[in-house]
Amino acid sequence: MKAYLFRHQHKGIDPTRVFLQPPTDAQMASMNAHADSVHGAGWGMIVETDIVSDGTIPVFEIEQSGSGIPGELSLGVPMMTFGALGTVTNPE
Amino acid sequence: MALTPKTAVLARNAALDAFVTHVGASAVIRWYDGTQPTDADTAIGAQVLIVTLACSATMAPASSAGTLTLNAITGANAVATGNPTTWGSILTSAFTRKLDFSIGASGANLNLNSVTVGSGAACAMSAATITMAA
Repeated sequence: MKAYLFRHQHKGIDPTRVFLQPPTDAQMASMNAHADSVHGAGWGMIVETDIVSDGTIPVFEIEQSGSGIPGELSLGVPMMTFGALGTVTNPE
Repeated sequence: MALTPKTAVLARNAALDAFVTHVGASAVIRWYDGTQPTDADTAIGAQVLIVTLACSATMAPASSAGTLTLNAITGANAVATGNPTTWGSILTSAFTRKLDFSIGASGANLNLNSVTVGSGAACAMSAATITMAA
């Protein structure tokens, strides 16, 4: 069985925000707005994990590979990209 | 197994908006020559500053659909010339680098009509976006 946990940039994983289905965008917005107001503006994300047979949630056993720090979610893709256009007008 | 995290669009927007807040008011964009540092926390060595462009007091409005579109960027004249400009950065108003990027004629983060910057050349950026991968 899967569980979905809300994680905020400044709060970290919130043990009171655990779902058995992925939260809706509206729920996500509400949780993020609340966390922003309490902990300061920051990003929010959903962490998917497994519930093991005794009902505990191994939050820090998210499968990952590469050189990531154990326990951290390794994204595996560049998260932020920058694109721009510009001009240079050299003197005659 | 492949790594396949996917973030909700509202989470991506929040991350981008947090970046604008982190950079702060009256950010600037600088172009340099030489080799781009390993990351934005690595100090500049022998690279030469080519030009400093001013972002709007508020760098960008709230992001939408995982993309941040920067407000107008004020052009400026080059302060140094010589080698081609090869990389740039978004900096705070106190000139602390926050996001480094490549500069080239094509296929770079910032694409210019000419990477050769002559003495006193007018430098401008007509559009800039920052996007968070889904």
